[in-house]
Amino acid sequence: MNAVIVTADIITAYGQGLACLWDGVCAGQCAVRPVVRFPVDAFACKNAALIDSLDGQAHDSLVMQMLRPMLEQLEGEWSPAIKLLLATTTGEIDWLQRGVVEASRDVADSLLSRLLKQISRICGGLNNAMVISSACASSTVAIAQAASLIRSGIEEAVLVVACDCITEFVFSGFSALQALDPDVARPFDQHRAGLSLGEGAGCVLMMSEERARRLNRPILGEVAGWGMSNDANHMTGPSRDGAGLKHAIELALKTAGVAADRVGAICAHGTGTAYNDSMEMKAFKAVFGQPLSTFSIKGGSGHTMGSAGLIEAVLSLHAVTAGMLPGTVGLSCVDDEAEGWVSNENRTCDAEWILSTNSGFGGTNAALLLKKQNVKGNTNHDYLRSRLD
Amino acid sequence: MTICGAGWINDKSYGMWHADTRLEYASLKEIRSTEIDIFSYPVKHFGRFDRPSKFACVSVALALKDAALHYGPGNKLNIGLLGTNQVGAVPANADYFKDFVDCGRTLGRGNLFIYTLPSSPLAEVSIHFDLCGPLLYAANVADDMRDMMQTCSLLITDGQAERMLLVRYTEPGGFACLLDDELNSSISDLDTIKTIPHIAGLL
Repeated sequence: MNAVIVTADIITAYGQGLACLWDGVCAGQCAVRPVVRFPVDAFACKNAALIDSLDGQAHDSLVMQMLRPMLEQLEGEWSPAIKLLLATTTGEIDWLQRGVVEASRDVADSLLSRLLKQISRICGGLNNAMVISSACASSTVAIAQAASLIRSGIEEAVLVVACDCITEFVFSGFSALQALDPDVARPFDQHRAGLSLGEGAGCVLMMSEERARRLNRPILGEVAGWGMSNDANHMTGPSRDGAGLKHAIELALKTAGVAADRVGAICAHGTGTAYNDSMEMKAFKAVFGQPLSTFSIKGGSGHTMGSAGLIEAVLSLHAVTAGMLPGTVGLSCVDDEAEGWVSNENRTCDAEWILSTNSGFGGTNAALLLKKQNVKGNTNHDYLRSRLD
Repeated sequence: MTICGAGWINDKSYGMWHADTRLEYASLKEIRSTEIDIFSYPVKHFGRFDRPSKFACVSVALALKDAALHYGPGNKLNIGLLGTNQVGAVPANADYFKDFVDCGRTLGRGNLFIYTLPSSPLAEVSIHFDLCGPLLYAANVADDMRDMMQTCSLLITDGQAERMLLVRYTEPGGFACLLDDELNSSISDLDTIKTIPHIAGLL
């Protein structure tokens, strides 16, 4: 049974909806700006891709402010038979901060199970719910699990929700690890000097293709293959040789039953750190040999951590459906290793298959192989735009 | 799904399930990375691990020993890790942020920040035991192990890993079960997994 995506929505620092992100990265715009939410004087980096409308003093946590409108707008989609997978790294971490600093909250309010309950309640009381966390590959892993549950026939429909926000907690931690570019991330650039943090959230409703057709649902694309692996190498850095990511990509090709030469494009994790980007290029070259059109959006959107995989999967499907790949925002001098693969210019693309990869702390790697829906009469592309604008 | 081996640790003792062993110990600080009853070879930086990482590492070492599975440095094993508990990384998050605030909110401590992910203990485990399968934390509201078993089973049948380690790490201890799909006996194994916290004195 094929696992397909029938509904998707996202929010990033570019704004609400895929169209804002798509138009922003295709225009080469950058959403990374000076941080005003909390003091950053003590840190070398003072920039991040924050969502301006989020209010640190609001009744809802930062991630719930992102998710609530998105999920409430999809009211009518839910049925108790849908399984819910929530992907995040820190969830409502702002509640923990308040618990430590102001005592206006209990640190236990930041429990992921509490966030899971809230989301489940908004979605009509889905009681078949699970949190999945695999560092910055969290939502990639969650989408993989959703596809696996559907293909195996265990579930007919799975809602994957992803979120992560930027707080003093997150910002100070990445600063302590010296992982942040003092200015703005430049993925695959010779002069890259670290990542930029971003915040974002999203959801995808996945179901069996059979169910989608039975319900006459437009299909946005198929999650055809998935692979997961671990470097077993270092707590914060990836393996230098890319062997772990290579293994994940090979598993994704295998589960899709697709040869490497059928893949036409790659949405890379592309954080802008020296080690990540180099590791990815080694893995891509080892699997594909010949250069493939590759891009990263993190120079524009920032690294949205646990939600990055979902946001990038939705954008990837849109890219192959639209027949265009965005240029890599922030790229000016292509690193020698990435020469011939990445570009800062938008490129036309007639690929049917696109690979989306993510990696994270602890050496986790995950890869999704996404297949565009064969469009007849352009209905799916139009639907995608209208649904996500 | 079959349980090939299981290990556990609580605040007073640790042991193995098949081998039916139980050894007393004084405190977690007293457990050395060179403890030959537990580890096949020294665990790098074990003294620096946070408590959940120590629980996970000891439990996995005992589970692999219980399964008579050899491991060693440089010998990558196609085994995945699924970790679970009900608190995620909240205690580690609080430790990190309290320290950051106490130090004037100018510089975070990297060696505390690295434990602020629910999957952090699994990362320490994967590094020591060279486990290269999928690594993820999962939890549900009902704390239902059936869901976790099913996730492990899917990862194996999908070909993502040959075997999975289901690891639970939360005060005052942890346990780990090495699972594979050689036999189809999910009900009895679920029952078995439910009994391990009782055997380990974790409930």
